[in-house]
Amino acid sequence: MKMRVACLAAVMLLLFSAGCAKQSGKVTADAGTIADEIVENEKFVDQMSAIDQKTAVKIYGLKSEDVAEAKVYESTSATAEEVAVFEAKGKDAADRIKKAADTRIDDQKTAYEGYQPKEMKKLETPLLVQDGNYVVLVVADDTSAAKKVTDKYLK
Amino acid sequence: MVNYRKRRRRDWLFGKAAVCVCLALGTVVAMNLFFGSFGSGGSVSVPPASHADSSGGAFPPSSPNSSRPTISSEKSSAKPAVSSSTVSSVQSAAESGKEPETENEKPESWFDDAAFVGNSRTEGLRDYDGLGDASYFASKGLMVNTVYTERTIRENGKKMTVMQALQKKKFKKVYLMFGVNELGWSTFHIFVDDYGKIVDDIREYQPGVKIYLQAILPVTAKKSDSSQVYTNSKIASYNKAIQKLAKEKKATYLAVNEAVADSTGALPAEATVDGVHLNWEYCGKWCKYLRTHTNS
Repeated sequence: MKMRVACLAAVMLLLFSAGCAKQSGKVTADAGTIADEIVENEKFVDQMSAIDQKTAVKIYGLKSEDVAEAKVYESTSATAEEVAVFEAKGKDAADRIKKAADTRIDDQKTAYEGYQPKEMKKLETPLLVQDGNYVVLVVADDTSAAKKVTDKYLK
Repeated sequence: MVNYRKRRRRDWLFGKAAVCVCLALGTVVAMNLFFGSFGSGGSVSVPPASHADSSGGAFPPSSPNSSRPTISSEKSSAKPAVSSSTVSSVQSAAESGKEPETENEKPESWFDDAAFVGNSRTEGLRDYDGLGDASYFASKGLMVNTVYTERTIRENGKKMTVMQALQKKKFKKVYLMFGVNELGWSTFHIFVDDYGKIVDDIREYQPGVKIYLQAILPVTAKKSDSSQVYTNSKIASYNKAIQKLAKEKKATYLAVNEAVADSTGALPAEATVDGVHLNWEYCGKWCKYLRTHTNS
């Protein structure tokens, strides 16, 4: 009888431990690691280059005080491909960055609509994730590899 | 009685062992979930992805005064090493009306009060970010007429035209690059006239400003050969007109095309994925040319 109780307790403990680990799961990877891993795993037509954080903040029209860390990869402008990972300084800042990412997509749609219409498909189906203080935007033909990376770190 | 005690003791020990095993297993599973799912935060070394394949045209499919043929897709091919001619003697520069090379490369901060206006290629220069706190007013497909009409620049959340945005801040230097998107215009003189108007208007907005007219950068030989409009010979003739305009308007002509061209005057295939837009390395060559051609 006691053995059964002990085993039951152990199983409960096991489930409890697993549950705790999931619930307390916070992002421990930095924005740079996430962006690098996306670029490493995703397939891009264009050549992707990491740009300076200051430039990224300007392009997205952000306030520098909202951004704890940013890692952004831009294409050569031959395509609309892009990878941007931001860590915000708080929830409100993350909301503002997410809004800026939405605006960025809209602006790119306007720019590419008459310039490179074939890029519109990528811009219609970007990967845009906000999780806690993190905002991730990926524009590519197929963002499934990028989604796996974001799921790994942010979900 | 003895057997009963032995059995109780065995059960007790067995129960304890089961608890220990489960605890150990639980700890291992919990650690796996915690560290496995949320990463160690270690750095990842990532080389830039290089997929030298692109399809579609690089220029706007339609524009005023033009009939724009579709440009065929461009694929990278092996090319001889680039001989980028960023060096030109002061004497020959003076003869040709080009900006001579400065003795020393200017620091990035020299461009803090500079504005760069241009199309998607200028966006590439902006992304390269080798010119200090320079301001960029660049958008895809920008032309000498749409700088006045299309609200492509976002300043403090508000969209405005390039010419409106240029009036919002004081600049000491303005660098312009136009022409590649206008190659298909049916009337060449309209391009030159509109370009001249831009120079005049900027002088009005920015008294005392020094204006630089940059040459149109070449396209790859493959791109040039596949089109009747976007050819390097046509770009060369436009560049002559831009050089002449610079002289007329007392602006400075910058032969930035020389910084990225190969010995034939074409953009090397290794410099681009679509035959037109410069990659990181070649934006660096363009940037270096600007930093070394700042006199007069």
